[in-house]
Amino acid sequence: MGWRAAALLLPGFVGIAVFVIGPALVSAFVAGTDKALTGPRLHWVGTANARTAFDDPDLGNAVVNTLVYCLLTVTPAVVLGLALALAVERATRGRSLLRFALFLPVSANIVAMAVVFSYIFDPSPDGLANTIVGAFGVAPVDWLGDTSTALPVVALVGGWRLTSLVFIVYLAGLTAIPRSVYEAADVDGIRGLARLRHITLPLLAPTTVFLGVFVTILTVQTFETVAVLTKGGPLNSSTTIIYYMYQVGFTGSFRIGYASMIALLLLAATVALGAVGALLGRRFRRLRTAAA
Amino acid sequence: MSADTDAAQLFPGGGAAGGGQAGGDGRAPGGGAGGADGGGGVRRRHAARPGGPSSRRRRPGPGAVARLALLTVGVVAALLPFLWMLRTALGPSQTALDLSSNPLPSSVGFGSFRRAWQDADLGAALATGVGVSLAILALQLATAIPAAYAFACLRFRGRTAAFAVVLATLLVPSQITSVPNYVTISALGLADTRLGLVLPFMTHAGMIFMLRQYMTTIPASVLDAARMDGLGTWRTLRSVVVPLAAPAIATVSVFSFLLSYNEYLWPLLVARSPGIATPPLALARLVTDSSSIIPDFAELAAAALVISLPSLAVFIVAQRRLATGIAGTGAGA
Amino acid sequence: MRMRRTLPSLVAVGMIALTACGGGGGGPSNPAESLRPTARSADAGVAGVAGATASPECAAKVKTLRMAAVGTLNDVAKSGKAYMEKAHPGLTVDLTATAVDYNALVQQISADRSAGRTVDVAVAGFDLLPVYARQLGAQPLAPSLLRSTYDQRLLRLGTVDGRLIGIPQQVSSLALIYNLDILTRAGVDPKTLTTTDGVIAAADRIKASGQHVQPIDLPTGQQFGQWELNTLASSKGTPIQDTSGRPALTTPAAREAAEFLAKVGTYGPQSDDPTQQGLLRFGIRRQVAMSVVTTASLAGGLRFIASQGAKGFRAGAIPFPTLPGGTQHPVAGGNALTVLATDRCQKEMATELLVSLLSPDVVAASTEAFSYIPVDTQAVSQLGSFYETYPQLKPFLTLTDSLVKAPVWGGARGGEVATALSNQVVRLTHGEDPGKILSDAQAQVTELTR
Repeated sequence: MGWRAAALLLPGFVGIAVFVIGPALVSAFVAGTDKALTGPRLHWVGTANARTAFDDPDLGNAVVNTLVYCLLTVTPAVVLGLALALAVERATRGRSLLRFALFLPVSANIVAMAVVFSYIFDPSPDGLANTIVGAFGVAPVDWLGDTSTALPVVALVGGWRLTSLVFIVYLAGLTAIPRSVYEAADVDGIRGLARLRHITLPLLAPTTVFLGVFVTILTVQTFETVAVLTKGGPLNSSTTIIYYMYQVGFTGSFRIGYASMIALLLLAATVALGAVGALLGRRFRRLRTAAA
Repeated sequence: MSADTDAAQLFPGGGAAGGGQAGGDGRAPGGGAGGADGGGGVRRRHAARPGGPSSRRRRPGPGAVARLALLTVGVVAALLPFLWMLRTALGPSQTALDLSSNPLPSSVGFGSFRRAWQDADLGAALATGVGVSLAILALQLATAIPAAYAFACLRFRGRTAAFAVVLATLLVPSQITSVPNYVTISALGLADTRLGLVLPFMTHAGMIFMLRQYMTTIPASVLDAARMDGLGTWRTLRSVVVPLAAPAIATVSVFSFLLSYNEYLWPLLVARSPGIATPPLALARLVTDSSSIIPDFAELAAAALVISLPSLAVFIVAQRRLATGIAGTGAGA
Repeated sequence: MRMRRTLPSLVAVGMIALTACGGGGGGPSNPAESLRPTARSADAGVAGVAGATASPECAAKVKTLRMAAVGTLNDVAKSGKAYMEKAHPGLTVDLTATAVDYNALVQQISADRSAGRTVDVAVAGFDLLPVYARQLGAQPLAPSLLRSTYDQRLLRLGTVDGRLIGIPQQVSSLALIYNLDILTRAGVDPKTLTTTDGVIAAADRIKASGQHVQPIDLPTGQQFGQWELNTLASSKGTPIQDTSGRPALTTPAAREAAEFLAKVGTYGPQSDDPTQQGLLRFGIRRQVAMSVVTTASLAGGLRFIASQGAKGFRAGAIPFPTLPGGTQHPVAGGNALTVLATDRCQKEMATELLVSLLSPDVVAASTEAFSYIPVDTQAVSQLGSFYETYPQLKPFLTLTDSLVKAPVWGGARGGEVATALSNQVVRLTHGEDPGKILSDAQAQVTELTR
């Protein structure tokens, strides 16, 4: 079995090794230097970049912003996306149109949408968002210019796209459940929420696992939405980790050494969290099956 | 139907489907020709309802109303920005920015589309974008499908570790890999070429991940049957697994296209000559390159809409494959 | 399976497209690309310049020249390319003009350096000149290369660490634009807008006149915040970087400037992006009575407003106000041409290309497109009718002598100062205490430039 598996894995691994792992290793090396993006000169600084990272208040700010962003987008997007997928699957008419409409957000080029969103969130009282909240008696808000609303607005736009993505993925997962399952459940009188809990959701588990991991990775790596809507501002209130890394390494002083360290630390932290999560998950499952 | 119907009898073939080991959950949605473990750990005996199938009520219940409301809100929220863009594109150059929120523009014309097409050289950009993205898609599918199959259905030493490595590469930000990859591509003489735009994306770990998840739902019985029919690994992949994984393949294809089509940083570094600009580059240039100081928003909106057409086309094609895939595989138990 | 049938054909189409279109991008496929609507074709060249032409030996040796510019300079760069390829048959000038801003351009040049490809001539925004000088290897240039009609007073704008490494090509400063209709209705005389006191008084009168507009909007994005602060502080002779290169943010002039900006912030939300928001709110939506633009956008902005006909208004512009009792010493913005080639012959050819881009005709054409302050005196004489159409631009021509160089910050993190300072200005407009902000800024910049 071994060599056949190797043959199947080879092309993928070549691609990953050359274009992802290789550069990642180079970057890990650069993380220990003071290299600037702009030139070949570098000096080894060891763990100095790591120490800088732990003392860096702007990085801490970016971490907090990213966590808040994740909290604001992941769960709502997954729940809404699933709900929409379930609703569309049950729809009797116009399913293709519904799928198409709900696919649009994730298909959009975010640079193109920037103009739309800056229009929607215009600070003047006639802006669309302000008109809506004005109907509830709320004073006009400078959505993208106020430090307390910039990140939620970015999260709203990000969540809008993420929901669309989750919807599409769940759609694929759902359509794999054969009718016979539902028919049998119907016969047994299992419908509605019970069916959802005991049949649909368990059957969707691999999809949910995939989405859980993938969506988390996506939100932790949020970059484009921020770059296009607020450029991390105002006053870094919407700067996420990757956007901060970009600012450090690709603008300003072009400190790619420190930027690489930030990426390395982020990777290490995520792997550690993932490992902990997986261990806990396994422990939990073992407890449950033991108890059952 | 016997009151003792339970999941096990509905899904002959039982047993925990293969995915339990390497990080996946043991559950398997019903896929393929009939068999699946209906939720490995949640095999419950359903309470028998006396009197057979209960009569179906035709009156829409609260669930249906909730669903309708959800769909309405969802569709409106999804469509709103695009409708605004359409309105802007069809209207005169700058009045779209008038905040009077008039849903209909004062005058309608397609001039903005023509201007966008010319100023941003959209024809060339679209051709490049579509060509490059399709080539990337082909390469990604060719490398990911076999790998996902190996991870999902074959057992070999180091499988968990290898899969973990693949997953870990998802955590490497694209900005980090951009410059080293540029050095590699340049060394290969592929800077400023279309092939250079394609090559670094030849494999996508996320695609391997999603396909692998989906393939773990293929019941062992199907694979066993294939083996007993004398199909080798490769034939099994081609004739059995790929058809069963069609919905997932269609879905990852759409995402792959979207991702590579909207990629900005890599084409910025690699595509220097005007002829091989990709759509995002063309759009960004349109924003800054305007001959008038204030950008022509109608032209921008028109360009953005035109640029999004190939993604929509890919989705429509994939949608149909998705639907046929289901009908072709899942219907009967 | 149907999917298996169509997918391969889709793939085949993709691959065919890929191979048929071959390796590189060819020339412009769209004729519209070669001549944009407002920039006419211009003649680049080195006629009459003694030291600029490359030696025949080098001219024969060099086959490729690479130039990198931002997208807006596409037309200017193309005229240089046209000249060089005509004057030196067999030479190809590779032009990269896909970057949308100077940062993206630096990213491209850096990637090329990592891959061992050098760019010969590159455009540098003034803010990034230190990066070009200290990190990208910009070569020192001699003023003797330039035409006699080049305004040598501008050369000091292109010096870093005492060496001339960039020849200013497009120079601009800040301008205050105002809606004359709104001002007249409020009884404000534009002539009072030359000082900050006058501006505040005008803003108060506009507010009192009951018109539904924000009196003043000074955008802080694109590093305009620190540009505004610096221009104000310079008007009293103490720009935010003193002569020894250290931050001077706690001077009385800086304090006055900060207080002015804080007061401006009280009139309403200040825009972020000067064009996408600032000019939009001023020129299209007419929500703002006074705003700020660069001289580069001035002609275009005025032209646009005038073109709106009945929906337009009368607009005026003057150089950015000074502090009370101050004189016009605006900080210069813009870009310079640099030579990054190190090989002797490449350098000679690169220099010829650079000088060709500074020919009076190119400078004039570029000013007609974006109204920068012309760097060539012969170009100014060519632009007579242009300045008749836009008399508001004339006062800027007299500012050349008093232009202050954009700060060149040292230290490993000097490149981040401009953004840091602009953020501090945002805090000012959000109502925080000016004194505290300035001392914070002073400490921050001192730390960054250590």
